[in-house]
Amino acid sequence: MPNGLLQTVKDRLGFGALEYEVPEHSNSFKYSLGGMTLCAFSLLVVSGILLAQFYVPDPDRANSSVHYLVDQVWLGWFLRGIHFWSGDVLSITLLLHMIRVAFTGSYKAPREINWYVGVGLLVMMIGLLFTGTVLKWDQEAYEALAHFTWVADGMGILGLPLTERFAQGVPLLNRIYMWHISLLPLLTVPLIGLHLFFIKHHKLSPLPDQSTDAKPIRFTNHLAYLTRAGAGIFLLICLLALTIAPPLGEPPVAGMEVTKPPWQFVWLYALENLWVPFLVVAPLLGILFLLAVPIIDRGPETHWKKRPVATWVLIACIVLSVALILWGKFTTMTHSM
Amino acid sequence: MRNFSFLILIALMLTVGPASLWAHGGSHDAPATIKEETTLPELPEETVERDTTRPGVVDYGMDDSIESLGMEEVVGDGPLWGENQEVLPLNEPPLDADKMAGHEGHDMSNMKHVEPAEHQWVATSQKGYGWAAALTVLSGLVFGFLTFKRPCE
Repeated sequence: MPNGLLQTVKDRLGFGALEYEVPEHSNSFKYSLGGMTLCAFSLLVVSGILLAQFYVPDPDRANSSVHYLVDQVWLGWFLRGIHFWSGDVLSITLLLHMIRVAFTGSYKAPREINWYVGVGLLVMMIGLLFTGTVLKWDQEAYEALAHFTWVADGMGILGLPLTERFAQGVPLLNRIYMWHISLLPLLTVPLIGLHLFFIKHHKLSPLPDQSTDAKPIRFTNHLAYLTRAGAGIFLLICLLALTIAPPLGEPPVAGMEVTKPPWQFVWLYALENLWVPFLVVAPLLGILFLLAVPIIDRGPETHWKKRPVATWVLIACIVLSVALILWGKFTTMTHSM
Repeated sequence: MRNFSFLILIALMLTVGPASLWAHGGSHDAPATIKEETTLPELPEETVERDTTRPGVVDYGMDDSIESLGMEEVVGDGPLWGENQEVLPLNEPPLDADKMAGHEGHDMSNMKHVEPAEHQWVATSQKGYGWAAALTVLSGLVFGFLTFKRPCE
């Protein structure tokens, strides 16, 4: 009888449509990183909605409202920890996902468009991460915003909508809050949908050395695997939130620069130390490089051993990024102009 | 289970030396403690060196009778605060974002003491800590069940 009920529910809700075949390697860590990223993003959305109930997006009260949440609201500190660590875990799974896609040449035909959608999602995540950093409105947030306005000014007319001059009299913090909870999620969710659609349409990219008669599994099996992965991600985030409190400073003091950005941005901080205009140039070059990848590397070969140039470029990018992050974290910046 | 060893790796990466490796704070060689300009109003001690680790010390400004949080005494005015001149001081120079972000010698003539925020260990006295621990244990049990039983995989 329960099986009959289950079948009825499946029929009515169309769950049978999820029984399509996917490659067996779907149920592997490497090919589930995107799903894990989505799990972390879902956690960010849920915890973010709850956090928004307590946040006051006003420069005079923003910082104190976060302090109030952390110190006085029941489980408020845990909620903020969940949100913060979800962002960090998402950053890691997203980067690993990108590296996997690049390593296995999964951006090649016919999946170029999905690579571009992924680049768009990367930009959205960077935007969400940055705006989230600013919202707590402490010294780190203020300095991050000051750098942002400097970059926006450097972009001329293109950067005008990102500056205070665009809506004079409205504190930029209010608008950044709107971007964080409204504009960027509204852009992100359709991109996620598009990303998933193209994965379904073109099917999961095959293993580089896979024979054509690989054993398939059902997509519901993959969903079960992703559920387990999601549970693991949630456990990890809970453990982190339970033990380590995210940084939260006091209200900012104008005209000072004493903090460093979050690790996701610290590579840019290091480059800035070499040449300040890198703040504008480096992100643009990075995005252009990512967009150019499927255009430059168009050969049919996907195995890393058979495309050494692409592999070495990938390794160089990883080493450079890690080096810049470590340099930015552990050295003293002089910002010589 | 082997596939999820990365979770342990990430946990180690994120937890080992959180204050140094993943800290969102940092500092320059130059000390952050800078002499205040004599023209600035005297700052209350509490506003610049508050102990955020002790709940109850911070004035959250959630009382309607409090018009502001004293930020006009702490922060500078400038474009990032909007143009709410009623609550912002007029005697403090505006933030020159170009100058600041341009790092022209790290203008420190108008600086006060600011401690960069860093990661801290969560105190077990936090509100709802037991519930948070219980939720974590529960999520661990769910993950353990899914890992050993592998339903539908």
